[in-house]
Amino acid sequence: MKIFAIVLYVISIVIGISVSAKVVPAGEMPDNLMLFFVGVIGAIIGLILWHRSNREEVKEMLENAKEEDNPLVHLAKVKEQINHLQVEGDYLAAVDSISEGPIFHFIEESRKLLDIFGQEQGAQIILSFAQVERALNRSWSAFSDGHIEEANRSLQHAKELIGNLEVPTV
Amino acid sequence: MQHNSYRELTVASMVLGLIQGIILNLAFVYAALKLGFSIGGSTVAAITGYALLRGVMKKGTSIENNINQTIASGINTVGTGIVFTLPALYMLNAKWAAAGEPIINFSLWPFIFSGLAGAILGVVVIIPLRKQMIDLDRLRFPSGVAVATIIRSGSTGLGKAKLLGLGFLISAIWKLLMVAGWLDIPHVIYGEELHFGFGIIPDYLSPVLYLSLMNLAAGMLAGRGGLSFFAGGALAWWVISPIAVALGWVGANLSGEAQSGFIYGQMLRPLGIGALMGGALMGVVMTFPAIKSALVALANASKLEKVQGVSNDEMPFKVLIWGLVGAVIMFFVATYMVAGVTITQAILASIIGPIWLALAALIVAQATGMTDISPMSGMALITVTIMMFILNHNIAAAMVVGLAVCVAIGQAADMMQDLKTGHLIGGRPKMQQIAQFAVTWIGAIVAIGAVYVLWKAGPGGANGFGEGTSLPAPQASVLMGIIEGLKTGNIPLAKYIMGGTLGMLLAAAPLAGLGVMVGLAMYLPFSITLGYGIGCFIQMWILKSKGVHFVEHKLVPFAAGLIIGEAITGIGHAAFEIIKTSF
Repeated sequence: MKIFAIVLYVISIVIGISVSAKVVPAGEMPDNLMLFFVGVIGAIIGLILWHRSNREEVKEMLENAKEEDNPLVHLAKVKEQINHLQVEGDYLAAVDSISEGPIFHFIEESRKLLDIFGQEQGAQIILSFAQVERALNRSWSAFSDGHIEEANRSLQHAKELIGNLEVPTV
Repeated sequence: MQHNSYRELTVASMVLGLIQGIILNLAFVYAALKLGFSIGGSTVAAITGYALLRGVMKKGTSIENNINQTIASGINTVGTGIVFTLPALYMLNAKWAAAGEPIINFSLWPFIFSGLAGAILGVVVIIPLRKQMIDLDRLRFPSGVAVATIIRSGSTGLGKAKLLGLGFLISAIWKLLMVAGWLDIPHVIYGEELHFGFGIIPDYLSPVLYLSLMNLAAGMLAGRGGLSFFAGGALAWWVISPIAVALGWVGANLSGEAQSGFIYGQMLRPLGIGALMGGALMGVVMTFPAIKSALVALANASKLEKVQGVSNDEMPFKVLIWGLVGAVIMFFVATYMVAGVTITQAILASIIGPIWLALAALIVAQATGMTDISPMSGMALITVTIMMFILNHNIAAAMVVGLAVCVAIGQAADMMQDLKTGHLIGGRPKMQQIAQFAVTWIGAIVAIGAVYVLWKAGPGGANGFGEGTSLPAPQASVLMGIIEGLKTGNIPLAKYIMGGTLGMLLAAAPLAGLGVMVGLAMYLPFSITLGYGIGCFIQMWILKSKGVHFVEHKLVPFAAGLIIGEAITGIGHAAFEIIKTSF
């Protein structure tokens, strides 16, 4: 279904753009408008089918709960790792490891939240998460600048923010 | 949260940013009039800031340096918007005066007002856009990543610093070889491009690769996310172009580069402009609930600060409202000050101008976010076209609005790059935005003053730049040609409408930014898109074979070095060319 939708969409777009390329005198419309509209309608149908199959895919993903594809699983890991983080030892490497691990994977899959919770609630989670990430980055910078107090404060802030990050029930 | 002890927005960072910004602004206004291009100043400012704040003062912090580079690049970027527009008016007047045609009587005051309005609006519109593009869409902003890499380089260990340096060195040497023409081979390598058709691949497939390591590095930083840009270029030149040739839509008398030039100029570029506009418009519609969410988050943060006294990192929501109101008033005043503009026209321009400006800022921010390339000239063209229509072909008034839009979109793109840097190093957006608000307007006054002085420096107090002088102002010449074309009513409206419709359909796909990216790829020469695409594929291959740790710790600093190396050498080359031709 998804492949059919994408193929229909792409072919229709190619038809539409190719037809539009014909050069006509300024102020005139080309004589192949009918074909252009065929492309437009085909693209709209392809889009509807594509969006529908995406929604079904997300539903299936949540039911099967495949770990690597599920942003909520990565979010839980971020939460757990940040909560255990302390400003000590090789702190920069510890932050890097969270950034390249669960944070990276969460960001990769984060747009699925828009399908799971809807644009508004999904966006709210992603926006709140970005605040956590920035606080963690600030903690990294402060530590590297030798401001241990600020590193601690920013890490604490990151912990508070991720603690307050509410995920609605699916 | 308390941030008192950790230096961020300090007098030192502001003064240093201010000085660097003014110097860079003047230098790049001159360079743009001479060479036709401008360069962002963030990388230079970050390196100087690193040396002075940390090296000399011994107490500078990473986020303090971020404020310095934010201010410097903000003041500098305003100049770009002005130098691509205002000189066209002077040059048109000179041309028409020489031909005995009626000239345009204009004062500089409306332009100063519009420059200030543009500088303010550019910062205002990115307040909600930051959340959308950096926090939500996670756009890469390659230059922003490069600057963050410079700022962090002192703390990330010798390995990363070495990779940054290696990238810098390779890119600087490569750029030198390119601009010096030492690797040039007739018909194969020239003008910093590799022409690999060899008489076998037809020119209408655009077998040309832009030999820029900066472009390649932008693709290497974007990875899979940048593929839509490459796909747009491939669609344009490997599908549409051969179809157009096969169906006989390209004149039979055209061949070789003339054929590809026709396809680009008459077919793909206008379609690309339409797709850019349609893509941006539909992007707003599609993501409206998310944009609403971003605005609600901003408003809530402001309320929380007011009620609970909790310091937040966001600019107060009322700044967005008052900034918009203030800029609309300035738009009105600037337009109404131009001779021949009625009050109705001024009101229309002050409503439609900011709406279009917000859309253009969205397009440019999205384009730079994914590719580092700003389609400013296309936006200037559309602005002048719309305004000529609204303002009854009053060229001076249309240029007043055009200047404001160019300044604002330049500001928005630059500020977004700076905010990306800020996100990566943990700077507070509010601090960066306050700093930019406080000083960015200076850039408009400096640049307009510089253009005025350079024009007056010509024989008899005029003609200081333009054709036949040592400052040919190539970009302004292009805009001048467009204005003359508009006067004759030669606008490819059908292409804009059809491109816009398809841009909307592309933006409605479940792939972020597809409409704007495909539009941008059609608008730009394929040589750029191809180089960028190769960079994307390299990153994807490395990510698959070496993993994310290797990409973040090896590839990112190396790619950042490639970007910085070409930027710095580009500035050096511009300075060298100016000195060489001046003596």
